[in-house]
Amino acid sequence: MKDSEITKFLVSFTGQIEYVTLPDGVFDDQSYIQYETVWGPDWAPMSGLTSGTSQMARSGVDPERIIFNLPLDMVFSSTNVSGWPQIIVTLRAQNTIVGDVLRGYSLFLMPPTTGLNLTSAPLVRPQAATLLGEWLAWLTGRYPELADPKMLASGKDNYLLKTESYGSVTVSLSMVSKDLRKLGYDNQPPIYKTVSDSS
Amino acid sequence: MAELHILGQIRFASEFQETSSLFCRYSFQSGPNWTVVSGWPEGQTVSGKVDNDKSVVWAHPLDIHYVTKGVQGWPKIIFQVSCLDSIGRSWIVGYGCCSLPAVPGPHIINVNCWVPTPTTLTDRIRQYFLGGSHQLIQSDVVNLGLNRFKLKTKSKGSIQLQVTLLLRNFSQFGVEYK
Repeated sequence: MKDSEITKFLVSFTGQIEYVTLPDGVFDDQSYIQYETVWGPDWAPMSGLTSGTSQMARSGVDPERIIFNLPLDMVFSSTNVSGWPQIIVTLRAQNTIVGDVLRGYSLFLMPPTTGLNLTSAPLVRPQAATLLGEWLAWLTGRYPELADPKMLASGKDNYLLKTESYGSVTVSLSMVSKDLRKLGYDNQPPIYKTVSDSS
Repeated sequence: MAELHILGQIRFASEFQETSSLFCRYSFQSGPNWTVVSGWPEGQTVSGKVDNDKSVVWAHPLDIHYVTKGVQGWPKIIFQVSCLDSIGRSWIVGYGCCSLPAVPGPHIINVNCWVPTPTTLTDRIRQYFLGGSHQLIQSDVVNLGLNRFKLKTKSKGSIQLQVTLLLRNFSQFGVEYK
């Protein structure tokens, strides 16, 4: 195919959701994560799983960390960079007293530059809007949840949602692109910057 | 025409020394050559509670696509941080502005913020006990550097921005950025 005939590019993301860190300690015996991917209108998934659920995990030697090591592998094609895929990770726990409870949401942007990226993002939990709701959440152990967590990726219409943050999720992802640069895009930092960042 | 994509997040605010939750309104400002093709160049984050390490997590996604005919007026981002107290009052606790780097690839930017201080003793006492703050009537002082001499301000915390910039076809038009 001639260069002038190229209209779309492919990006492949591979990696894993490594672990969740909760600095106050892990008090649940059974925690699990779910991930969902959100992308813009010009994007299409080509292969791989764009959503999934992990195993039930608990902490080990380090009482603050739950290792999931959940593999991620997806390929997207697009004609436009706008609407770059984002992952929403939901941490939930199963508990004998209250059942299935939410522990937090976390939002990641898939790496737009090639190479390996180890990133962590904070876990955010919505707070009840009223004092009564807050008190009920404390009493029942069930915190308010978002009807559609994908709203976090759009960044609009959050109507001043009140949140609190607690812990973080760490993801390592590597990105490989095809024809992105042939279409005129430049996503690589200049050499002087990569040298000064690593030193 | 050359294109610029801004992808990333407004991650958190730190060291704001407020006890109530904080949120921010942001807007992108750019010169007349620039047009936004897609994305939301202004918006408002969630209202986050201050956590154990004195920061407020927003994790607000940004995805903006600009098309430009010239490099004059390279986009800037303007922040207006407000606090929301337990009885639903809100007032401004910080202004900040930063110019986006003209360098492709990932960037972590810390935007340092300031707020106008109370000028009289009575205002100071009122703000100490009741909250509230002075706010700018003309907010272009934030991004323009003009007429700032008579303004009295106080230093506030900083906002961390994590953005990746993708430039398209700039070199085709002879723009040298590397």
